[in-house]
Amino acid sequence: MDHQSIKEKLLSYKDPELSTAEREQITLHLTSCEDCRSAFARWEAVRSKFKALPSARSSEAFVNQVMARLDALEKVEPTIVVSEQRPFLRWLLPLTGYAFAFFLMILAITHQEQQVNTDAVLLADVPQASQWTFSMETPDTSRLLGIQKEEI
Amino acid sequence: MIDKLHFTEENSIEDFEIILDILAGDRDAYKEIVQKYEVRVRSYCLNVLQNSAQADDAAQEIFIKAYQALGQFRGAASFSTWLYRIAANHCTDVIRKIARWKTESWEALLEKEGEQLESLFSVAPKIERSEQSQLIAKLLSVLPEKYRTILVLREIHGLSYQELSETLECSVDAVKARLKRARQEIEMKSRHLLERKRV
Repeated sequence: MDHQSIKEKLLSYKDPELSTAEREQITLHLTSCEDCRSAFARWEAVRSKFKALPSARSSEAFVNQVMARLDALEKVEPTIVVSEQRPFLRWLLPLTGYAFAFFLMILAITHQEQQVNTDAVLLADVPQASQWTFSMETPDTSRLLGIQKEEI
Repeated sequence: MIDKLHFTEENSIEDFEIILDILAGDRDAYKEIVQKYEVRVRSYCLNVLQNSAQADDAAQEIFIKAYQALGQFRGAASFSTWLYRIAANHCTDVIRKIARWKTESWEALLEKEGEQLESLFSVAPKIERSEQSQLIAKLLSVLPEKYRTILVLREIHGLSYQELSETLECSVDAVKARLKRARQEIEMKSRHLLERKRV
């Protein structure tokens, strides 16, 4: 192993999971590399002080508090996990909705009412045939009212 | 469900029998579990949260959660590893809530306690054990939460790579990588401290 490979495993030197071969290679490297030796010494110094962190002392009061809380939560029982039954083809319902919405959209686009260009209608020399074109002819009211003129 | 619970070598027969009793409806049997594991769980919470009141509150929540989830325990990992998993997840949530109003940077810590921190990296420290403990706690508090968790589980609670992998729900390779980065983070901080002193 080269310096970089050793450096990668250096701080796990004391881990029991490290293989004997790897440990031997690191040991050999430490005898010749001042930088790695110093880094390892600093880490080991910190590691040895982790044990100085305080640990909790056994407390019967704590145990009683937990049990009292369990008693207070009357309905609390160990939950037995039942795998959730997923409804068959659960995805089909929203898909149908989306398909119907899409269908309505297509229908609306294809059956759009023809739009009248008002500028073109008003500025045109020739009267345009549209529902907004006024006829200059006087309508025959008799015909519209269905009155037949008597012949004289 | 009960018949799905299988015994492994890591699970003690005693734990196995108690869990079966609880699942059969004997709630009081849970007291034995709490008595057996309370020191470990409360110590873990104290090491990670660094506040005894918060640690005890968290430990209570962990035991309540464990009781409620006991039906999900399959026995593939040891009961203590399963309990550590609940504890690690719960403490991570608590740390994230606390971090919103309380974070101290490494630089701020250096400014305040640079000289004492130096003794942490010395083989023959000139400070008392209680001071060492406070400094280690402060050093852990400036580390990212995932590094703090894995270092406490490994260096204080002595979990193996396999147990860490079951507790943190990741592969053994991921455990090795995370542990390496956590240790390197501390080693880099010590290097930074020494270089700062030389300048």
